[in-house]
Amino acid sequence: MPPSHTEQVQQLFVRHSGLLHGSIASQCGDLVLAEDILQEVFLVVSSRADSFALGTNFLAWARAIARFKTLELMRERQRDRATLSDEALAALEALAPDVESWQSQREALHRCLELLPPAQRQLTALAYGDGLTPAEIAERSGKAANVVHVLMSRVRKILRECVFARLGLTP
Amino acid sequence: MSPRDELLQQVDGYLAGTLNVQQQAQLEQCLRAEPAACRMFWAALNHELLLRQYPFAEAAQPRTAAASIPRTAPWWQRPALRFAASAAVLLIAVGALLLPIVLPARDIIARIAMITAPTGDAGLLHRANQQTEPLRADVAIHAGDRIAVALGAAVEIRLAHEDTVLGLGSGTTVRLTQDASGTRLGLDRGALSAAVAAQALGRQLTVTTPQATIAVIGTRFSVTTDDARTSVEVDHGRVRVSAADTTSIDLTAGQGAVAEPGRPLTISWSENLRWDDRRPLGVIMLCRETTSWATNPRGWFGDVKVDVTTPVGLTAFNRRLDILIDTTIANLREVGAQGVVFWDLEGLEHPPGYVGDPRQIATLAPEMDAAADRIIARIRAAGFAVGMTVRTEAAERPASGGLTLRPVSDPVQQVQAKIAYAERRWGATIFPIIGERGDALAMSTICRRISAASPGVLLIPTGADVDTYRWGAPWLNPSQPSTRIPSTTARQTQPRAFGVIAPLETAYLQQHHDDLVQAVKAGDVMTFRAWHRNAEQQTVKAIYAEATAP
Repeated sequence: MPPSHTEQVQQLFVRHSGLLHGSIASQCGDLVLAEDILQEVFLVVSSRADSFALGTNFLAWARAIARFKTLELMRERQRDRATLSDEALAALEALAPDVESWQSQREALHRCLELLPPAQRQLTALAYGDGLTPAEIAERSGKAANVVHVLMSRVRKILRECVFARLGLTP
Repeated sequence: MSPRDELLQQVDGYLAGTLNVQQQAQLEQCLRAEPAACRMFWAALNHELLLRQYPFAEAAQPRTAAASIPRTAPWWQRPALRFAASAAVLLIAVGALLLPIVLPARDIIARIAMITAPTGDAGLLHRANQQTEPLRADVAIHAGDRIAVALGAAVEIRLAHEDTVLGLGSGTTVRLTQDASGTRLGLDRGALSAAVAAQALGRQLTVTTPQATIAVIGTRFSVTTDDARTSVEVDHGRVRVSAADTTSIDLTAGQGAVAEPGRPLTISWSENLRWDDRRPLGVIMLCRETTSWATNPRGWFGDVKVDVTTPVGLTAFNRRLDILIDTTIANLREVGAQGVVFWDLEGLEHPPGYVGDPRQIATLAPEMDAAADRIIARIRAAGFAVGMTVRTEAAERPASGGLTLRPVSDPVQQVQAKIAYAERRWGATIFPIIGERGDALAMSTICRRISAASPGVLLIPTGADVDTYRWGAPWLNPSQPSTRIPSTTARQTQPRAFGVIAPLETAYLQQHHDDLVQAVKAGDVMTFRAWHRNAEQQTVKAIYAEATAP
């Protein structure tokens, strides 16, 4: 059975969820809160799927929903964290990445992770894949937390510079 | 520090919430003035997101292989970790700059549950590693995964290695984790029903909401939560509910509790019926049953001449439907009704009769699917509530043709998904519940759970015990002998209980005028056939006028 209209819209959401997550995070300045808001946006997108015409710009449609949902949830949760002004967000939105640039960066990350020495790669996996804090990694490894923290900062910088170099964002 | 590094540091600070006012202003200025800064911002932000989503575990070893490895195996015996250990030893040997981190075993990603029965456009599964995939049958759930059920859908999941079944209602989001003490469900919002198998010694199933923690060692219960409150109801067995202030109570079968900030946790019937409008209700029955008419198989208007198979015929069908709706609205106004209930919106083409599944209108009655949004919007725009029948059974179309009604193991989910669809598409708020339930659940339980999940709707169950009046207004037909509990009996223990009286013939209305005036005075709601002008409408109006006179 071919996917229903709503299923097709949901598949588009899945395909663009990383970009939407980024848009929300840029607006609320909080990656964790952005993940929660993304869940809410999915529910809204599902309930309003009928109003989206397949073949038109899904990302623009979903970003508009995400923008309003983010404002609503930030207001509801009374977030007092400083966020970017409308002007700055508009400047960012004008240069917001598309699926192609997202995939390019993902590919660059994959290549750079492959290039990391195993220990650095394992450390990255613990920090990002398992979500462990430096203190938790330190506890497991028997090392001081500040040592792990410094090490993680160094690996993070190496990895980011590698990715940026591949994307042409050189110093 | 170079301007570029400074910018990246500011982006990091923005996402961590650690920028001071001056740094925030600098970042603002950069973004507004320099497109290159915006590109850098996105690259840095996406870098963080991509790292969080990166499938490290899958890159290291296939999940299926991981799941098959016993948890008790020492870490160095696990093939996927041998490489890490070797790498660590090697790093020590070569004296690398980087700290060799030799770790005890990482938790193996094991399947803790399986999706068994998604309905509708079910929703999304957000993996612990940030990847996202649609909810489908037989998809394995791992510790840390989060399920987001789409509006109008429902999902059933079965926990691994035990006979525990969880039902997740429309719009529910829940995260599953598991440790030595048992399975934990973090319910962010929505409705969860659970039939929990007896748990092994020392283990329990725990549901955590923003307001409460519910510990279960084997029972059948349901939880509904939103930002403000959590309600818990128990069908069988016993659960312990702990509020955020650490007070706790034990609930047994038939009991409920509501946890919300600032209010003490007390045992109660959790949700009583909240429907204050007692004005009359119109009903619309559009079809004649199983006509087998070639051009009008659904039996619209009971007229063999209707033709829904040609464009010209469809135009005439829509014109006639609009006239019927005009008449209905006029009649609702005349009688002073609160709304109208469609009995057969999906047509009556097949022998089982009323389908009671608005989700299937597109396939069962495409001509009505095309018209339904228009006509219902007109009724609502005129200020009237709208409702439609929902069945407890699943209506299925076998390959051999026709339509069959299949009793389901969880009629709550079945009814809830249909109601959610009608709420979402049409803003419907009134739902007669029809159908057989077998021995699955009492109608009172069905109404209790649905009213907890959808407190703004009026449920009109056919077939009801006295407890059903707590959460619904049962369908009553005083002109027919019945074993149903009358509303007068229910009001002896529940003063605000009321029933909905089926449309009655004018002769019966006149003969039992005084009884009906008393029933309306006590809160019962009368119905009438609204789609054409008839004498009963004036009689109902007169009964209400007398009952509500000062």
